[in-house]
Amino acid sequence: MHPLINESFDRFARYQHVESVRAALGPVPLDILDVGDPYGTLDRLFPDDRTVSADVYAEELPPRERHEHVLASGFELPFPDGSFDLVTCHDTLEHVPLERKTEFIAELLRVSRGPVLVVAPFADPRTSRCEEMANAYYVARLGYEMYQLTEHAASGLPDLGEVLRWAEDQGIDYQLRSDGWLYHWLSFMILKIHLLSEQEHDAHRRVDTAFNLLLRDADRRRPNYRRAIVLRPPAGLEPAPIEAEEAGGDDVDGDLARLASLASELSIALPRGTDALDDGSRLRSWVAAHRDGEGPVAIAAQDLHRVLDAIAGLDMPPGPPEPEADEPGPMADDAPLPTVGVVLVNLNGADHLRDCLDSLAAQDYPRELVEVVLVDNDSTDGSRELLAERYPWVRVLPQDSNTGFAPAVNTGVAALDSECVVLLNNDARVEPSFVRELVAGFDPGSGAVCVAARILSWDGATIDFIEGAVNYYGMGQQMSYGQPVADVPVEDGAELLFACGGAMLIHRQTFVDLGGLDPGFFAYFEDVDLGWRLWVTGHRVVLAERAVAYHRMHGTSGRFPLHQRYVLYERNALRMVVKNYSDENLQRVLAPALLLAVKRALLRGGLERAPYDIAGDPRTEETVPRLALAHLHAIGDIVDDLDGLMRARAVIQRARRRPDHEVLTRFKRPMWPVMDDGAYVRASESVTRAFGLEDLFAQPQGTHALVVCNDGVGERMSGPAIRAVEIAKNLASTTRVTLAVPTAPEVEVPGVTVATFEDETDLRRLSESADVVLFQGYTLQEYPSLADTSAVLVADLYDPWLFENIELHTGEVMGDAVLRGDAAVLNRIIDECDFFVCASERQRDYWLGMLSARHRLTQAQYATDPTLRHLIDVVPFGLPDREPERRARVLKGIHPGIAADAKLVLWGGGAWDWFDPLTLVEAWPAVVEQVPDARLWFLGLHLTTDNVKHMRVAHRATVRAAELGLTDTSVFFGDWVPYDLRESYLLEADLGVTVARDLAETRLSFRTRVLDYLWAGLPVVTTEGDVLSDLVRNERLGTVVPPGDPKALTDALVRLLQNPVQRAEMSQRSRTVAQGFRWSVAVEPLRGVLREPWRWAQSRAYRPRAGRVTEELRAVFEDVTHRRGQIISGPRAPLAADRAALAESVERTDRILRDYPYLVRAVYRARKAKALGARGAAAFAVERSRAKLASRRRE
Amino acid sequence: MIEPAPRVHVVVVTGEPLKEQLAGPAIRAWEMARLLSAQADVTLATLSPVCQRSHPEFRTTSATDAQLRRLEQWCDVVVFQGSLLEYHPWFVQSGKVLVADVYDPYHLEVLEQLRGHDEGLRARAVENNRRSLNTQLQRADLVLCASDKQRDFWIGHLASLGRVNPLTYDADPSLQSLITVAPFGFPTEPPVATGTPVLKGVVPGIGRQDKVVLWGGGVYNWFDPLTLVRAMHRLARRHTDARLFFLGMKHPNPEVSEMRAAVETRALADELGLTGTVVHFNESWVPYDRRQDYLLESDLGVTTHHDHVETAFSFRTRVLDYLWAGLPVVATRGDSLAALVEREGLGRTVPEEDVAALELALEEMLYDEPARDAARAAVARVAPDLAWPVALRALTAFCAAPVRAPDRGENVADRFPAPRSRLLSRATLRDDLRKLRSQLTEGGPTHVLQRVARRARRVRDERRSGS
Repeated sequence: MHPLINESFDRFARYQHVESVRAALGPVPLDILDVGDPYGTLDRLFPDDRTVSADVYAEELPPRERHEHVLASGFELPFPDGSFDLVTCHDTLEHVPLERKTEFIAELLRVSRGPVLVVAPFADPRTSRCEEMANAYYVARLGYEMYQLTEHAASGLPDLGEVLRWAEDQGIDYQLRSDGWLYHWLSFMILKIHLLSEQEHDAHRRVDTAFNLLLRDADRRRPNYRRAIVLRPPAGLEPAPIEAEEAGGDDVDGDLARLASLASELSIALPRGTDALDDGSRLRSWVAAHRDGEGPVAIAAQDLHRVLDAIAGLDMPPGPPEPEADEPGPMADDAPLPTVGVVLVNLNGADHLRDCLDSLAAQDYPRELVEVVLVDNDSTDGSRELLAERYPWVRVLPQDSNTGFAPAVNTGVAALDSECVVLLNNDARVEPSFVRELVAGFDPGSGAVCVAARILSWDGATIDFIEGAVNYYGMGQQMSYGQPVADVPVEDGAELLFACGGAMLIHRQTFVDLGGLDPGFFAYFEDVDLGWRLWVTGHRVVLAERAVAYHRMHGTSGRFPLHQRYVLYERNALRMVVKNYSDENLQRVLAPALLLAVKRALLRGGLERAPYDIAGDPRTEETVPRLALAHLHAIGDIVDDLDGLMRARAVIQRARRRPDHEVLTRFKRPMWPVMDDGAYVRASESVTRAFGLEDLFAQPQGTHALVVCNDGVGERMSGPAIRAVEIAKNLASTTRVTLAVPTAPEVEVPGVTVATFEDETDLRRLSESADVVLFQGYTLQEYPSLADTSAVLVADLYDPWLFENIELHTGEVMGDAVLRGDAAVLNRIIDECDFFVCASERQRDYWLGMLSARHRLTQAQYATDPTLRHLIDVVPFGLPDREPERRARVLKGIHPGIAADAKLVLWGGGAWDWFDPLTLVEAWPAVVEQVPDARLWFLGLHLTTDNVKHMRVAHRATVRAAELGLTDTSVFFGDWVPYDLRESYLLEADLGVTVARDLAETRLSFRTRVLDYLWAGLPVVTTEGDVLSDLVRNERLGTVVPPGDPKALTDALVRLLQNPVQRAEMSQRSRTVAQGFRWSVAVEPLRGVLREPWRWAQSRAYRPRAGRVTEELRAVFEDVTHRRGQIISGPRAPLAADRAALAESVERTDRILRDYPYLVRAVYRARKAKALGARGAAAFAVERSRAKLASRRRE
Repeated sequence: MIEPAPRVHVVVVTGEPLKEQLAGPAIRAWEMARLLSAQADVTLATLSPVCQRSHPEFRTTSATDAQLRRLEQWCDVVVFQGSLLEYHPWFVQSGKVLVADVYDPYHLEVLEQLRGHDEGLRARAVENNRRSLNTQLQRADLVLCASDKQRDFWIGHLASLGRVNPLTYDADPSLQSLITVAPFGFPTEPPVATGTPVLKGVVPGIGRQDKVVLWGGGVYNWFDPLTLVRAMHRLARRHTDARLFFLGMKHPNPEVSEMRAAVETRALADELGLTGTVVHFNESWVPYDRRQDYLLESDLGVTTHHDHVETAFSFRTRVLDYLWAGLPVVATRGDSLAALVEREGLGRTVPEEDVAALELALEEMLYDEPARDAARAAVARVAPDLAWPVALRALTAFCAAPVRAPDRGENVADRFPAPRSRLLSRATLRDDLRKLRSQLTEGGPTHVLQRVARRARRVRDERRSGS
């Protein structure tokens, strides 16, 4: 099939010329340059040549082998004289300024050592008129101009005569060809513009394909749209085919008139909103009316007719552009079907290939979405000839030798750019619905990126593969193998540990990201390994029961002897063990795996023990079957490749998104002894027992959550600590929870294990045993390595710190680095965590903005979750599930100055600088004037030397209250009270009040004290602007006043204090509203994460490249640390001065690293790596010269 | 003699074509130019080659790179939407006051719009839009958005970019001088029918006395027209005169393709046998100046959507159209205009995908006269506050005395150094290529060479002075 067959007919035509010129130059690989092509087209036409395209512009395309794109102007090509065998230039000349056209051609001639091909439309009244008409139609339909045609009209088309005269003057031989019969060009342009404007993209494409198939020769008539000048034509180039004369000839005026009427009739025949390709369409009737006539318009009508018919599938040309029957498969309703690339690996499988490929050709999946690639491992049995002859639609990738299955598959996949890849054995055949059913099971949103087919024996009677199992030392097994199909129950969508590599589908990008099949396997178990890695990295493998393949048993592989196969089984099983287990489990499993491998070697080799007894056979040699030694070679292979293996392991473990215990439950038969030999079974049992392996595969006890609290837990807890404790307590009803606190807690937290941590290491250790780690945002700054945990990281962003910090530091001199550092800390949290919770919908909007700025709102995330609630959700502050209790009388009738029947207004917390107690103090005298028994109690406004710095506003309020003579008569400043005693204060109050300033912080804040008021049924007086004040207003729970308005505040307080009925109503409503704010309800979004942590971890897997960069930097950093250790403290340290300087610089950078967050750190790490690298090299050189000196001395 | 104070020069930039039909963003730019022209010298520039409208009070132009450079020299303030900084990256270095109008978080829109397209394409589109928006927010002296909710979102963006800092905060702790709300609006003058009737008694199947529910815009994937069609199906069984008219099945910009939702809507209406009787589709896009005819002939405006992140931050201008024409509104809950409808009693809001609730709301607003009249009265009361002059008050006030942001401008240039220009970097390669192409066509290769040489000199000088 021609590589450009689906391209625009115009483009297809213009590249026909280069093909004939290229053909005339013979079969030797050539260097070819295409000037004015931003796409790189030649490489598709001539894959065996070295092709270069040059343009002032480049399309964004993936780089290709053997093709190069150069950004250059055609007037100054960056190549020496005669660099190419052929230089071509398609439809570019007309865009070059008129007076410089020959200069342009001269430059093309300069860099060519052979012919130069210039293809372009040239000045002709008919050509210009057609372009004008096409452009006019384009504007009418699409509302803007076709810029190329506008440019042609503006700068004028080149003069053919002038170019040819110039060539003659220069003594350059040339040949002239042409394409694009103008009647075709115009009518098909109009048809295509029509289809484009109707959004009929598919039909638009098909018109081109049909044209290219049917009309390429019929297109050689005059007048032509385009000419091709072959300068310095090669000897072998045949003269241009004679152009048909019957149409038009040189009757320019007649042509113009006919073309104009063709254009206007066609545009009338193509009214808006109709499908031009329908049988009854107006275009069809136009065609019917004209095709029987004579002259060029009639020919154009006939050709339109041919193309329309071909598109409808009635009259497709003979000769297979594609082999399958033209029957579109059933289409899914909404999502478009993915493209699928089938990869076959062949080694002398000619006998089987026909069945396999014929069954692929019969797929009911849309054929334009399927591509078949066959990697041929150097077959010598005529496979390649068969393919070339019978299956030209198969892309064959010939290999020079038998590379093995895994590398061959990787090669095949690398050649594809489809969304999914299907791996299929060459000795299998498949049902027509095979691909469609596999695709139906493919659901990346749920993690199902890999779909297994059901594989039956060749006659369909017995099971070949329906479910896989593996034991703890990596021996894979096909369960139910050989059983009659009817006896084996199937569950569609069942989760499998792995899909059989003989027939499966996988998301291509995931496959590539995982590094493909492990090339170290050569053959066997690579599919088990792939499945294992998929589960470890957070994906799922599922069965598509209705996707059926039939397999000849070991059609290809049965030809290898046993010892060669066993070395692969044994080695590959061990490779999996070493790569895929978690650190902890690898330690436990490796020794048993090796012990039993030795036992298998002895038993399979039938080796006798007796001769090795002291009294046994004294001969020192024995003939040992190769099968026995295969096991030892397998272990030897592992040792030889241990470094590589550990690197592969590091990659997998870094990408881990699921704890081991969740993966191991999918092994199905972890204790399966691979041999049924009695001695082996006994050995296997005792090893299992000795190493306690049964526990390893016991059912896990559900998710383990670690809640990190960065503040003391005790009777007097800060807000953040209360939040952490309440969340831990409420999650503990559904899962295992550990609360990590920096100091030993003073109280018990029911249902929760409390662990203390002293430093980062402790915390890191705690996080390793958890599946989910929940922490309050800033903790990550203090303990950055928390981000390295394999657990799902949940950041609690209940507080927009940024504003608070800026506010708290008002007036201080803050360096830009600090303020940028603040944004950087936030950005790091955003980058590193899997899931976020915040306290209100409004905060969520804010954090969504930040997530969006950091590229966390990805299409992958959106595809599974368009509301983005799996990325960030709301966990408001909550209230206890019980009613508040009055434990003691605390104020009324107790505190001096507060009578038992006083009207008590409560300020229920501290007063950081975004609050405005001053306005309240200013308003208060007027309140007392009207309500003499009103008393105002500030809870937590007791100022100490510690907190005064951050409570300047509060300080001013106390000073002002004293000035006004209010202190301790009607206004009281209390201390913080124990958490449990708060409710007594709340219950004694008649009114809760909160007054804040109008700041950016206000809008995003969540004033928990207002929640306390509601809990205690207090009517609320609050300033407007925050979310809870909206609640108060909407639910009529109190009065909302504008900020900074003492008068309004006075009025509100007085009105409520004087109106007990209204207060009672509000109180009632408050209690009702409070019900919805219980902690047990509030933590609900977190329960989702705990049910299926790995689903939330996926957002991490889809993270942008930044993550990978960080990984790289981290690796560099580790390298540096290592070297630093050698240089500074190593026994062979360099000069002392050097060493001191180095130590100092390391310390300095370390200090900076500690103080500077994330990105800044990354930069420093990189720089440090560089600096230390140079110094390390110097130290090494000194060391070497010393050693040399020493060895000379010895000599 | 006292010289009159020199008028501020403002350039308003839009990416949309200026032609007879105007898409939403172009309408917004147009109204900005119109309002600002009362106090300033204004040029409305479109990045599209199509500029077919003019106005007596301000200039309109289709701007090439060269022309934009001239305009930049001339003006004091640039108010821009969309990709200005992407196509003309030198604007970032401009010393003039830049106002970024991010009325639409279009990177969220793209997530939905390109659903089902090639993954790579989507990823690129989302990433490009995100980067473009980050550049705008990074540079802007003032940011405009369309609602308080959007403002919260953009503050998050700004915070991530380090724009919420002591300098901006101290200048205005409410951050209103960094980012402020300028919603969409409607003309001060109430709509007047421009000519002959267009709907009732004209569209086959819609009688003179029928009740028409208007879907006043395009049908994109984030909308939920299916629930509406189902509700109409039920309503029409009890009220034979209930009609639904989809105004915009086509977008004036041909690059906006008809989306899945539109196809499904037609299919459902066909399936239920409603097409042409109860449900009617307008097959063309109505010119901006004739929308009012459709609005005035309708009885009720409706908009229904799915619960998506896009929905949450969108600002549905069609609801404004309804209110302009005095129509009560029925809308799905969840966005800022639905909140307005709810708060002010301008109609009814319904839960997502609730056919029964929607049917009830439609019935109430069409047939329950007291309820309908109350809603109409509320609309009339609220309308003056939604006109363009009020909506754009923040912008007009700012442009009366434009200033650079406290953390931008020359005094802080050293503290926030612009990234060093390089001869060729990956990030700017595309821009360079674009530039190269336009310079080549505008000035020819010699011109290009001169520019390259100049740039090389500049880079060298920078390197010398830098380190």
